[in-house]
Amino acid sequence: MSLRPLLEIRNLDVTYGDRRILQDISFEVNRGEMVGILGPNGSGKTTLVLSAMGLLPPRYGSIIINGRPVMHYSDRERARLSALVPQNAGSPFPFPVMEVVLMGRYPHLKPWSGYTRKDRQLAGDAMIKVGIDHLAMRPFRELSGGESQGVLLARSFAQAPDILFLDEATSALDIRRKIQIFDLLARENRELGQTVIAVLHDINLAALYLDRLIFLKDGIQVAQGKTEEVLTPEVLKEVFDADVLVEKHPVLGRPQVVFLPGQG
Amino acid sequence: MGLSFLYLLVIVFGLWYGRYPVSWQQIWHALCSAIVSNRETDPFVKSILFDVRFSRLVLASLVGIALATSGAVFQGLLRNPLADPFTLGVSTGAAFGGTLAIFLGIGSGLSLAGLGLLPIFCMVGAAMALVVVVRLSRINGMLAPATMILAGIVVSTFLSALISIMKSLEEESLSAIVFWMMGSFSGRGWPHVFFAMPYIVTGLAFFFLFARELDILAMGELEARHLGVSVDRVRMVLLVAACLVTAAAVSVSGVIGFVGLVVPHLVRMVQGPRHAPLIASSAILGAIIMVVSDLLAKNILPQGEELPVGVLTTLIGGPFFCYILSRKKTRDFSL
Repeated sequence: MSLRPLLEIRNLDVTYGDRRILQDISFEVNRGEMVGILGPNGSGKTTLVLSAMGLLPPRYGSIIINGRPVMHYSDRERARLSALVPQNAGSPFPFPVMEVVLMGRYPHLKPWSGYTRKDRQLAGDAMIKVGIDHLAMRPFRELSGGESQGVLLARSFAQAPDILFLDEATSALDIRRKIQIFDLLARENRELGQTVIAVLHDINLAALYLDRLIFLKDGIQVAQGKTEEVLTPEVLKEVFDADVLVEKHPVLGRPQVVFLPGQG
Repeated sequence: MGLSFLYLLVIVFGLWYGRYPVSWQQIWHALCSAIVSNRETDPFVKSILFDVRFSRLVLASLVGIALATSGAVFQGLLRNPLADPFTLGVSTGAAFGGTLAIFLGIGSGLSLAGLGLLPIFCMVGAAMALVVVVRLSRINGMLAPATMILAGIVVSTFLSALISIMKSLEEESLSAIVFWMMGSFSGRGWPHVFFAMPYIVTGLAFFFLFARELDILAMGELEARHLGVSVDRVRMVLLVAACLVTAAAVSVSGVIGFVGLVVPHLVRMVQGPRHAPLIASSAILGAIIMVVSDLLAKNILPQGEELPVGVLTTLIGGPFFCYILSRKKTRDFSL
């Protein structure tokens, strides 16, 4: 374990064809942090996550995980460093939940060998942790939205990555499931030092759980810093073009945003 | 296990069943003499059993294995339960190559291990069809499954038109082309088995080697990539392997439809979608269905003519597939 940050992103530019998606993004994430990426639709949040995972080659700039450029890792090594919980996933074939969770162990397999008893054990543990072990034999694609997000989360736990990325993983869920999932992430973070980087739309959810926030607008990093410092009406006005007040959570004391309608 | 046993039964039955009556005792003797080689057997009976019937049973099994397993692999790769060797234009490519060989009159003329050039033309045709389809469906350097299916249909239709042109231009070879296109094992023997075997065995080895990756690829390309699968490499290897396996089958048997589509379906319905067991069971079930179809095709007409086995599988497979479709309409086919 070194003193270097776990993830370092420097002067990152990403283009898609002629279109520039991200411009001059730089930030660091230390081991054990919970970081949020916020911004309006189309601001480049998903692209940032995919580049940080090494799935999209940057046009310019560097992405360094554990002191080594992400593109220098093999595909499996990358998948041991970072896992992704996407917004949704599906298969035309009725894979049982257990098999889907087990796929998280794929990057840990030795070449040309199958899943071991230990892999099955870890997949089972992950399902129990998320509370979906009763679904193990159900076909994944027949699950409800909340259930399938649980499966994808369990899969990423089984993957045991250094960094856990969530790309709007809770956006389609009801408030109870959202809180459940973030409570679970917070516990993983507290007890095991799990590093989490989450893209989300719900500003108040982000403010409740995340240590640091990065705001993107049109592919440019508008602000980043500790949640208490960066979550201000000025920043939110600039990023979302919305008028808000920032209050203190009555119980936890963390900042919470109150929206002001009809000011535009 | 049950399937393997059924397969053995089918093979033994296939040795016995045919136009020339052979008794069980003669089969037993021939088997013993083949293994121990000290017993006297009627050489004619032995040749019927070994060179006529057994070679054909082996060939039918190989082709059944090839079509069913490559169908399963194409379905997984394209994430589409309706894909099969035909969807990608690979079969039609092979058929085009074969037709061209017959059209040019070199189908059986020049001899290459007793086979003629037809199988070579099939392989080249299939490979070229695959190259065109892959080229057409590369978007931003990534292969898009939906585009691949469209490209496959376009290439397939275009090649079919070319096949029709050749049919209409050359009256002499018309019947040869038509009969070959319908798919049949008649007049095939050990040379065909030995030609197709290496491709099919090699292809199968790759299918099993990458079965786990196929499972993950079925979840989608992005999923596979972030789970650590080297998507481009794995998909290329599997596409080429499946293409060679299909082409090998078409080159020795002509075009035999529906086996590649229906067999993986049936297996998936019974034992689930995991690819390693799916490919294994598809291979055995494919072999069984192919051997039974061929036995029927050989013996069903009272006058002694053979029915092309491709016609038989399509006649049975078509309605059967419609039945499966209508039974589980919305659940299994929603993408």
